[in-house]
Amino acid sequence: MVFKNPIFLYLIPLSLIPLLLHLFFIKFLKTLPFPYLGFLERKEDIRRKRRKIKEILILLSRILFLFFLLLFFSSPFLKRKIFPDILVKDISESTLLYKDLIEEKFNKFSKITDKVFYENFLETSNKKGNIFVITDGDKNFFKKIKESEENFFIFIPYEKRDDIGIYEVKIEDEKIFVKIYSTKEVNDASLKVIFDENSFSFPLKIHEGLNEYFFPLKIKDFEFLKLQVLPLDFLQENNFYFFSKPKFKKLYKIFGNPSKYLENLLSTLGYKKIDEISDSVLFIFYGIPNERESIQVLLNFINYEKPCILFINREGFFKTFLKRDLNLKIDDEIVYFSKVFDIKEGKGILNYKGVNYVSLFKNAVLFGFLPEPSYTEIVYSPSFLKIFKIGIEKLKFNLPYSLNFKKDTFIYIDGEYRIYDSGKNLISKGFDKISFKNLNYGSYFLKNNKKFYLNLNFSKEEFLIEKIEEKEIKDLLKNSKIYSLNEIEKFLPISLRNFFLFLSLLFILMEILFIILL
Amino acid sequence: MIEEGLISKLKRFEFKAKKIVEGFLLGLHPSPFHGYSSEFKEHREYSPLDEIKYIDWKLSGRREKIFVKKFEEETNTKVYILLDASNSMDYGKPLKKIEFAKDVCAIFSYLSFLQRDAPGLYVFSDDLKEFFPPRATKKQINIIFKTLLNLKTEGKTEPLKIFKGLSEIIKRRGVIIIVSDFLKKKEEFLKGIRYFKAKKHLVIVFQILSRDEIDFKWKGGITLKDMEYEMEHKIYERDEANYFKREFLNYIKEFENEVLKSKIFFTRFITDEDIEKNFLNFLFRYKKHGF
Repeated sequence: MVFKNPIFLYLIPLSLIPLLLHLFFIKFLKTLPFPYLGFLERKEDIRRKRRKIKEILILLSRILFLFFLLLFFSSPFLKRKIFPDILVKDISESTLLYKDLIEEKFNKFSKITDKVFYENFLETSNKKGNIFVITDGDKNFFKKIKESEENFFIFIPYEKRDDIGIYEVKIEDEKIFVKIYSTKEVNDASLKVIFDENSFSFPLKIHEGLNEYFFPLKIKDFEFLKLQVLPLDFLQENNFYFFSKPKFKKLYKIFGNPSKYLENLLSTLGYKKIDEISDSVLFIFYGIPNERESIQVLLNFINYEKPCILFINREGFFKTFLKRDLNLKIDDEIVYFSKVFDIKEGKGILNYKGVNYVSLFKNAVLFGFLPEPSYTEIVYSPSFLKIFKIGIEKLKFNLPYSLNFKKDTFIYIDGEYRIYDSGKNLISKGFDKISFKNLNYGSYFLKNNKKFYLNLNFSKEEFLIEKIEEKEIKDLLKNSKIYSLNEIEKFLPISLRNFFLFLSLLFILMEILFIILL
Repeated sequence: MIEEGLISKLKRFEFKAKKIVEGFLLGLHPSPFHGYSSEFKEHREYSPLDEIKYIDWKLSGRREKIFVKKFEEETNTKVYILLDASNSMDYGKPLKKIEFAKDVCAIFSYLSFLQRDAPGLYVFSDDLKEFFPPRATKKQINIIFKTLLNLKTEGKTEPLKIFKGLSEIIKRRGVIIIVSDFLKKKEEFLKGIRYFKAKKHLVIVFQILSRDEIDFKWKGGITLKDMEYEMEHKIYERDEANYFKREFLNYIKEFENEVLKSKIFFTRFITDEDIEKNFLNFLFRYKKHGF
């Protein structure tokens, strides 16, 4: 038996308090003389025995009541053969699609152990033991696991969904080319195309192996595009965020770890806390804060009353997405700002209530919210790139945006790479390929005792493509064991908490009965 | 040498006894015990001073003269007062049972003396501690009073042994007055009393109890310790206290029933009650019903 709160075990001797009180009571019972007690002799033997039994039963009930109550508080549980020393929860958006399923399992664990961590545990902790991980199979997660020497038990909350997925997407001549890989034939499937607040579906028949399709795409101006392939039997779930993970999936990763957005943003600017930022600096948040962390960044600026603009050039998106889906309550000013904000020919113009904010623009910091890609197969955000390019080239923004390069991540960029010094002078540019190692968001190079911040420029076609094959994943996880989420039940400890609570209550009830009946 | 304090105590004692007895005698002149110890000796001719109840009507009818019975001792009835001075009598508030019992003994002694009967005092517990055989003298009364005044309780009650011994010593019929709480195995008391009964004595039983005993109240957990025997009884709860009280009352009731069944005059005095009133009640009741 293992205890979640073993401190209560030290209190178990306290359950003998009733016995001590009893002995104390007997020892210090007031003694009075009485002329004659012989008249009791006849019945006293039986009565004394009965009273003794009653006393013992009541005393025992009290002791056991306290004993089991303390055991209840110590949260005992029976350990299985393999027990998670640590439980790690992947909190990426894609995993949160299975929120209900995962929470249920987590709740069971959290009742018996407090050794529950989020994914950053893998980076920071050096605890040993059996590590149970609940993840939807994010590549970074697997890489973190590879770096560790622990025993990993990985629980993935899908089973049927791993047989179909998007392999490759291209947009050419108002058409979307999609390659879909399937491990089996699926007659009733659907390709869901989501661009900004709009979406439409194409019915598909998918054969086993690689399938190629193309569809017309007449809309040119959109913030982001997302494609999902769905077997029809999942459609009824009506899950907007449905994410299919084929076995031979290509993982497209653009930017990682959004949980450090704010922290990284601040540290890049040389701040530790948000309230250290000067009020003369205008922050322009561009893009769609569609992740909790991104929203958190924005809300922090709003809460601290720092001048900031959320640039969204689509009011409809704001209404449907921000308000309805995220229940985000942003001051109306933010919306107004976004309406009047525009960049024309390399100049930022901001008119709000008759005030021209161009002057503020000179000190502006552009912070881009890029859609978290782990649940999005392909992301295009052409208008973002446009403003980004203009920002860099014309307005010369200092651009500490949301990049977070992870260790050992190979990044292929078909575009331009620039390094500016702290005086915003261009130092170098024009790399086709670059491998960043040991770099984090906000990293800089030191050259001649000067800081060199990292800025990036992207081509329209591709931001970043990173491939990972099944074999690679298998290699990564060769020392780990993979189970479906439901199989986690087999490892769940059996909590005895309620059982002991029941016993405790039973004995207090018995005590009352003994007092009344005997 | 009798100390002055003791004399004044003695006088108060005597006064108390006198007051009760004289109150009683205002209504009843003859000795209540007269004739019990007197043995018939012969007949003699009736004289006007003789009481009518001693006329032998059968003989008078045969002889055509009135004869009265003449007793061997016409003067005194011997009154044996047996006082229990065991430890259990040293109980009760504000008045201890032994104190109350002393009053009862003193009253009987004085009453007997005034009636020209001969009171004697036998103090017992586990043994016969004091004994003053019956004498119809003023000196005897003083001795009894002094003895009662100085009396202390000690030892356990051994009624069977004592009563048996006394019944063998006391040859002549008389009145046996036993003053005790009778808190001991009741069979022992009853058996002892029956020895006297067998010897044709008139036996009168005075049970002296304290209010605390018969109206036992629970005021929290206590250990009761027997005043004479190595016994303890723990009482934790009110129910147990009630049980204890019930059993005690049953016990004394059973004892009373047994005594009455044996045609022995039984009276119970409670120490917080008015002794005068109770004693006069007893005397009137006795005179009325007798045995």
